[in-house]
Amino acid sequence: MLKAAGKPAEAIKAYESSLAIRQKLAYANPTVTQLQSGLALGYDNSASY
Amino acid sequence: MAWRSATTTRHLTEQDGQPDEALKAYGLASAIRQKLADDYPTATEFQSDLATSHIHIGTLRRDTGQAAESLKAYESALAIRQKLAREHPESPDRLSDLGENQGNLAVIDLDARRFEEARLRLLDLKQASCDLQF
Repeated sequence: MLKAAGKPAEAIKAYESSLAIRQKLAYANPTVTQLQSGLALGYDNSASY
Repeated sequence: MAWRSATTTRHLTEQDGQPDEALKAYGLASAIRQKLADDYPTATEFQSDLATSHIHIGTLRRDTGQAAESLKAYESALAIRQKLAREHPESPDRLSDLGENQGNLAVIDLDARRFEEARLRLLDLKQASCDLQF
């Protein structure tokens, strides 16, 4: 949404915050597949924002 | 169902000139998905997600002029998606993914002027499209 609104810096910051949360959750819960998948999606987002 | 095209995927390389960073992130995602796919071989979602990772890497490689690496990544995705389409013929998503993959590979073939190979892939894509309508 921020990216679409012409605020790429804010979008990047939001993606990075999201990735940090996903990393924390995935590392704390290595057997929860949903969180591992979520982390992978976070990496995808960080590559494509 | 609309065909999804990897050509619409945008990377850091297009926007910020950071293809190495983008590739690193896609690689991390791919490693997670490879482990999930290995640990849960009957979970189609994880297999499909792994194929998607291969597609992301293939498209980034293609966009940065690495045709051979792109082809390899797309073919890795194709192998997974062909298996999923065979195992789940009732699923339009599986067929759509397979069509997308053939489209990606056709672009690589066209870039390399392998016209006959591209034609055959596009015929496969057309067949998949027809199958989706019935």
